[in-house]
Amino acid sequence: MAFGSKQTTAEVDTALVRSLQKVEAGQPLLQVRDLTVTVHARKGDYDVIHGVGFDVRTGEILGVVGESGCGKSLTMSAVMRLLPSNLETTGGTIAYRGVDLARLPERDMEVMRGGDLSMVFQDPMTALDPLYTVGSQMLETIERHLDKHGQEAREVAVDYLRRVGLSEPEKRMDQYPFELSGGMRQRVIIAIALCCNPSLLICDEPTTALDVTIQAKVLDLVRDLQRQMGNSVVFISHNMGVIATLCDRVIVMYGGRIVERGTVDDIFYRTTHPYTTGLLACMPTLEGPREEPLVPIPGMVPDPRKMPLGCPFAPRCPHCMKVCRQQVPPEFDLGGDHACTCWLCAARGTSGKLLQTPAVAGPLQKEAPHA
Amino acid sequence: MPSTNDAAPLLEVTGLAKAFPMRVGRHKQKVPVVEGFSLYMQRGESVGLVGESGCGKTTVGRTICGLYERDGGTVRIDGHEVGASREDEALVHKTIQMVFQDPYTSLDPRKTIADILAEPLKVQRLAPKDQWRELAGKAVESVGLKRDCLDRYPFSLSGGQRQRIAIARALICDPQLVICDEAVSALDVSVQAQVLNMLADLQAKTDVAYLFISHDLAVVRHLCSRIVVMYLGRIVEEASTDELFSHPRHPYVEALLSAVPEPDPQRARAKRRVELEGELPPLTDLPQGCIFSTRCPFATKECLAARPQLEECAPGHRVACTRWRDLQLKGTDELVEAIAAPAAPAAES
Ligand SMILES: Nc1ncnc2c1ncn2[C@@H]1O[C@H](COP(=O)(O)OP(=O)(O)OP(=O)(O)O)[C@@H](O)[C@H]1O
Ligand SMILES: Nc1ncnc2c1ncn2[C@@H]1O[C@H](COP(=O)(O)OP(=O)(O)OP(=O)(O)O)[C@@H](O)[C@H]1O
Ligand code: SF4
Ligand SMILES: [Mg+2]
Ligand SMILES: [Mg+2]
Repeated sequence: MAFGSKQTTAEVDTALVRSLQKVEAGQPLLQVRDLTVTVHARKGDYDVIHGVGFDVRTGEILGVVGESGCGKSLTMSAVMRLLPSNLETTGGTIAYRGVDLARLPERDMEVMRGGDLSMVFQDPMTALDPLYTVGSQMLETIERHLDKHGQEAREVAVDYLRRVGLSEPEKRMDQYPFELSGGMRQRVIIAIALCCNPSLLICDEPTTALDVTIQAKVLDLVRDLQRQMGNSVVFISHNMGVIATLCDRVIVMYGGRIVERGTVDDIFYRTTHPYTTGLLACMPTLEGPREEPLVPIPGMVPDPRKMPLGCPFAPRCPHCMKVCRQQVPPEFDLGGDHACTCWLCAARGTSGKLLQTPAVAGPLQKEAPHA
Repeated sequence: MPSTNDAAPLLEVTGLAKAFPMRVGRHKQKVPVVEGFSLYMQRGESVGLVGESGCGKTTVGRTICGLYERDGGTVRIDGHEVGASREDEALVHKTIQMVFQDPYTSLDPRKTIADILAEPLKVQRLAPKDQWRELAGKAVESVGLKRDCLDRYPFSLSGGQRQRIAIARALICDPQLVICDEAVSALDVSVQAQVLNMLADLQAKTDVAYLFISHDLAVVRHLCSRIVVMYLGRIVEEASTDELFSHPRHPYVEALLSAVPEPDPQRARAKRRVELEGELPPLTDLPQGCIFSTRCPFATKECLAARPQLEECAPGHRVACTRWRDLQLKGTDELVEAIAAPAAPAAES
């Protein structure tokens, strides 16, 4: 807010834009390495994100799955530099087109947010200001980041409201958030995130509160954005159906770490980590026999203050071995984009460069295999 | 009118109606939110109630169990027509219990779990005071928790544990029907699976019936043998679960099935979607004729002429669509067009 004056924004803008590198399609747009997030608490600090590393390539949709509390939102809030005040990024780099966001001055970061980078937050109720009309909130973003004004800006806003499937978009512009249903509000938020055509759009559970028919519309819209404009999307969801429908690649998170990553087919058809297997087995499906009991994962997500010593999943894992309770497993390369952080891969003799690392727990994912 | 009768269905609802005061233009007037809702349920049966947000599912649940006064229609329990007398009210409370969506607000934060569970026993005078604790202990065990949680407060439990307590509270009076309103929607997939399994186990043991309100079709498919689909306060289709998923007869139901994301990439890629135009019309300004006509891809003049009533299109299968005879709608498997056999099946382990 403090740097909100237009002049400042524009000046910072040009200098920053010059420093951003061009990225070819399919190349990494965002490279996160060794990201560590720490909670500052009276009783002592502790980490909630433990050295996470991943890439988002140009023109892809990357899905992020995992149970509640696995660190999906915090990882992405750290990328956007929007962590709650008691949390801090204490390690790692966040390279966006060659610029390390972790070290960017806040005023530059403000220019990036809403323009190049945009995020749709999990809690839709806090994202809109109840005192302003839908139109004025959209126009503010458009004027600030697209440098379009008056009628021209209005046309962009109306166009995006129509694209998210809202009827009578002209009328919606003059309505206040309370006059809209929950589903309509959520689509307004998505329209605001999309209207500046961000290179990287981060969506945190944006469709959880929506009806399936509207959810399907929003997923189409996100896919159109990516196909037509070649933008990149990170899509956080706990719904495996949404992930299978939308994403090119997927990362599975557990206990503040990435436990498996791969193409969507790797994750669904060549499932390797016991946690991913567990997530898939506990979901009711639309095909096959109906009445078979589901297979829940026993136990609960670990409390970040009481992380188990070795593999974070060990207390709940049906395949847990001795080594699992002693050392954090390294990430094993399974070929292509597929990698898995589980000692079973070593036991199975999976070929891969990380297999050669001595069986000593080192920092995870120092270099993601597909960097 | 039959009096209580073992051959009668456990619950029989006919022509249920509920209206709420809403602002129409400048005036407030009573607007029907649910109309002509009919349902029968047998002992030990699970029926799913699905439909878009605001279509009246919660209103139906609350009206059936007497939390809202009904504006029309009849409710029969074991063939006995429920009136306004205190005895009838007590019969409803004894037979039907409701579990609400939000495990965070539905439990009183100032009471221990033991007190929360004793409350219905106290109010309905179902057991003497010295038995409350024992019954509460049995109830928490029946939902898969340990007795030591009895002296804890709701805030010290996880969301899944709290939802189990809410279910235990509904079960403690030994009801014959539990209305679960989005009871697993706020839970994580793994906890959701635990609660769904628990509900199925309890049903196998006690023959309790569930009216399961949810917007998640995969969850409803898993738990329920019959499904009722609502749109704008009316039933548009009702069928056995397998029939509804394989041969939907209402265009809205086909659109709904087509919109459910498939948790399998190959099926997801091959799935055809039926798009719906426009928004849900406001309850204060319902469309002429068929209530779905403003969004239906198949609407004709005929559909606008008169409102189609629910009619039986196959045994146990009811639909409210003027054109059900000539439409060839697709079920979930047909919506997923001929796909190549899946690649390698899920890996070892
Ligand atoms: N402001 C905070 N202070 C302390 N701990 C926090 C804070 N926010 C989140 N955490 C903790 O960090 C961990 C990761 O939280 P995060 O919100 O990233 O989970 P998530 O994967 O997004 O879960 P969900 O699916 O519920 O959104 C959790 O254990 C959570 O309790
Ligand atoms: N107590 C009330 N007073 C006035 N209107 C109400 C009341 N309860 C519900 N309504 C209205 O009745 C309609 C149906 O609401 P209801 O809560 O039954 O829908 P629902 O199908 O349960 O939706 P959801 O899936 O969002 O829970 C809505 O338009 C709602 O605004
Ligand atoms: S490392 Fe061990 S405990 Fe962890 S997931 Fe693999 S087998 Fe299970
Ligand atoms: Mg989150
Ligand atoms: Mg409801």
